[in-house]
Amino acid sequence: MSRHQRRRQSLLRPRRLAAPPLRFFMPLSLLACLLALLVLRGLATNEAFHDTRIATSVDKTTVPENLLKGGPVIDARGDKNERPVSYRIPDRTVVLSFDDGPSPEWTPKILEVLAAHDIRADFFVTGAMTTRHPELIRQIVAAGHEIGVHSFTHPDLVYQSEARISWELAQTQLALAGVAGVHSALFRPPYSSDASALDDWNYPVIKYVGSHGYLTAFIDRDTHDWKRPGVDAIVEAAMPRKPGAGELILLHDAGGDRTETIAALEQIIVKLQGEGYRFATVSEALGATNATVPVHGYQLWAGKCFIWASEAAVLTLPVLVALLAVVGFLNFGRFALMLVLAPLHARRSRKRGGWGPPVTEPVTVLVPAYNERECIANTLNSLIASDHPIEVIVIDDGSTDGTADIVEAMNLPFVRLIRKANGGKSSALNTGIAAASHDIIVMMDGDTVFEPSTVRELVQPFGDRGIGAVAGNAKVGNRDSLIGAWQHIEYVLGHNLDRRMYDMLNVIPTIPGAVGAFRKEALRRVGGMSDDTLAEDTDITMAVLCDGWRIVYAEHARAWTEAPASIQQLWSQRYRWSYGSMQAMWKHRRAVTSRGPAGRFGRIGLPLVVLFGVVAPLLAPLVDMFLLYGVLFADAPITLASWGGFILLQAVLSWYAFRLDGEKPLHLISLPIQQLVYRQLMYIVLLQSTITALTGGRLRWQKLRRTGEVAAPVEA
Amino acid sequence: MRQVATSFGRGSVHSVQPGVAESRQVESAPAPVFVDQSGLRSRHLRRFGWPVSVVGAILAAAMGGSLIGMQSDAPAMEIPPKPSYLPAKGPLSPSWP
Repeated sequence: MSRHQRRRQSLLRPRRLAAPPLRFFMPLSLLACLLALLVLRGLATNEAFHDTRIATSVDKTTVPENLLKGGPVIDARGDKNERPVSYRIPDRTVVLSFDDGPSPEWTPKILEVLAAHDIRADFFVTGAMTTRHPELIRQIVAAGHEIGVHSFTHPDLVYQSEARISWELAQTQLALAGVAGVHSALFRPPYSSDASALDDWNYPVIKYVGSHGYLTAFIDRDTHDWKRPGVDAIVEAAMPRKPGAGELILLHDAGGDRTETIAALEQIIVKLQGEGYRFATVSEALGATNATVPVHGYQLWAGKCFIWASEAAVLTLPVLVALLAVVGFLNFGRFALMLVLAPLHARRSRKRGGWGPPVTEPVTVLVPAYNERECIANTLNSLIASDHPIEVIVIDDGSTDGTADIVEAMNLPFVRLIRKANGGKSSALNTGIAAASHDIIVMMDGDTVFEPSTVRELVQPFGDRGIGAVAGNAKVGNRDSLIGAWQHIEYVLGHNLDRRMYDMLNVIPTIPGAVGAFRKEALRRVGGMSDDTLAEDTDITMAVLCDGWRIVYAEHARAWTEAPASIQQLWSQRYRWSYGSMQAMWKHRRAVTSRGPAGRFGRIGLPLVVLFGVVAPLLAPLVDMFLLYGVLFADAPITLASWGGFILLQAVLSWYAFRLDGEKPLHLISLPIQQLVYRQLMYIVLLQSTITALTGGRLRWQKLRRTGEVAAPVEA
Repeated sequence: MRQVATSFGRGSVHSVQPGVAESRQVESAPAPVFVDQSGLRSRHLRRFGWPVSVVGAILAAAMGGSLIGMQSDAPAMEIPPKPSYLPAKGPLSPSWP
C-alpha cells in the first residue's frame, strides 16, 4: 500500500513541514484541561482517590490513659502535641453532631427541625459533599451552626500517608472557603467512634492532625442511625449513660434514607430539653471561640475558583461521556459491521467459480519509479515470474539515483522504460496510461514485489463487464521489527475486514497504489490520475466509483511491500495518507447530494469513511484521557479490566482477520503495545493533518528511505 | 495528456508539464484541495488558536494547582484553660447565656 512521493523538495525553499508549536500546544493544553476537569469531577462525586478499606482496632499501648478515659474532644495542637489533653462536654449540655453531609435531601429537613427548636449543632462535612452542594453549606453556616472537617473523600485515614491526610484537610478547607468563605478548626476522622476507641493506628493520625492545628471531636453516644435500627433505638442510644452528664451525640445527615434520624432527632430534643439539657455547639460547650472562621483574600478566591471549576467539571462530564459514547458506538459499530460482512465476503469469494469468462488477455503493468535504486530490480524480477501475459512500463519520474539506468541494464524484453522529468506520481501514471497497449492496467509501486499469480488473480474480476477496478492485497514484508509487526496487523485488519466490509457494500474507497488494476476505459472516463490530492489512489478510486463502476477486492492478489521502518518515516507516510484521503473526501463531497451511483457512494461510502476514518480517530484521545483518569485517579482494576476486554475483542477480530488471510497469528502478541503506542501515533498524525487541512498549509514530502529488504515473496 | 472533466465539476485535471517548476504550475492551475494560497485562513486560525491555547494552559495549571492542597492548617481556636475532668454532677455553669 505504499504510495509514491510527490515532488522532490526544493532546496531553495525552507521546509514548511517544520511544525509551528501551536499545532501541538493547543491540543496538549486542551487535553490537560480535560484531564483536570475529569479529576475535579471525580473528586466532587467522590470517585477519584476513593478508598473503601476500613481498619479494625488493634493494641492501645501507645495511647495515653487520660485520653482513653477522657472526654470526646482531643486537643493535640501546638505544645500539647506531645501530651494531648481531652475535654468533656459540661454537664447538662448536649452537642448534636451530623456526619458525612451535606445531602440535598436530608440536611434541609434536619436544619428545619433544629431551627424550630432554636438549636445550633455541629456538621462534620466531607469535602466532596461540600463541593457538590455549596448551597447547603451556606445554609448551615447562615443558621449559626458549626462546621467541622470530616476529610474530603471519607477514607479511613489509618491507611493513608501523612501527605494524603494533609491533602484531605487542605482540599476540604479549600472547598469550605469556596462555598461559604470559612475554614474550620474542628476535625473528626471518618469511621471514628468515642475516645476509648483510640488505638495504636489512629492515635498518630490524631496527633498529626493536631500538629496542623485541628481539634479532634470524637463522640460520647453513637446512635448507629446509619443502620436504620428504628426511631426508638436511635432515641434510646442518644440518651446519656448517667442522667445529667454532658454528651456529644453522633447522627448522620447523609448516606441513605434518614427518615428515622429526623423523627428521632425531634424526640431526642424534646426529651433532653425536658431533662433540663441545653444544646450547644462544640466550641460553645468548651467556652471556646467559634471553630468556623471566616477567610479572606487568596484563600477565599482560591476556594471560589476551585468550586467554579468543579461545577464546570460536573456540567462538562455528560458532554464528554456523550462523545465517548460516540467513539464507542463507532468502534463497536465498525466491529459489528466487519463481523457480519467479512464472513459473508469470505464465503462469497470461496463459492464463486469466476467473475465471468476467465481473463487471459495480456495486461499492462505500470511501475512508476522515483529513486527506487534499491528495490526496482527486485520488483522487475518478481514480474518475470508472472504467470499472466504482461507488458511492463517503467516510468522513471526524473530519478536522480540511476534507477532508469538499472532498468535499462536489466534489458528485459517485456519491459519498456519511459524517462520523464520529475512531475509527481499522477503525471508518471498518466504518462504510463497513455503509453499502455492493453485495456487492463495494473498499477504497482517501484518498491513492491508481486507473486507469480498476483497479476492473474488481480485481473480475473474484469471478466465481469461492470467491474471497473480491482483492489489487491498489500502485505508488509518487513514484519519482524516491532513497528513492522504493528503495520502488518494494521494491513491485515484493514484489508481483510475493512476492505471486505466496504466491498460487500460496494464502496471500496481506496485501491492501494501498491497493487490495483483498472479498466483503461474507466480511467479515461474519469480523466486519468489527478494531482489535486496527495492520495491519488483514493482520489481515482472514488472517481471510478462515482462514475458507476463496481470495484472489488481480490484477496489472493498479494503484493509485498516494504513498510516504513522508523517512526519518522511512518509519520511522514501516514501524514500524507490521512491528509490525502481527507483531500479526496472533500473533493468528492458533492457526491452526497448527487444522483445515481455517485449519490450511492456519497451517502453510504463517504459517511462510513468519514466516521470510521476521521471522526473516530479524532475523538480517540478522549478514550485515552478516560483511561488515564481511571487508572491514576479512580478505580484502576476496573479500568484496566475493561480496557483489557476491549483489547481482547480486538485480538479476536484480528485473529479472525489473520485466519482469513492465512497468516500465522504470531505477530498478534504485539497487539497490546500497539494499542498503547501505535494507535496514539496514528491519531496524532490524523490530528496534525487535519490542522494542516484547516490552515490550508502546503505539504511537501521526502522520499522514504528504502533498504530493498523485501526481495522475494515471503512465505506466509 | 487528456483533458477530460471528472465526474465532479471542481476536479478538472491539470496536467503537470515536464520541467515546469512548482511555483509556476500553481499559478496556472487551481490550488490543490485544502491549500490556501493567501495564508489568510492560517493567520485567522492562529489568531484564534493562541489565545485559546494560552487560556487552556492557564486553566489547566490553575485546576491542577487547586488539586495539590497546599493550605492544610486549621484556623486558630482559643480554648480557655480548664481541667480535662469535670465533676460528674453539679449545677449548670452560671456563665452560660
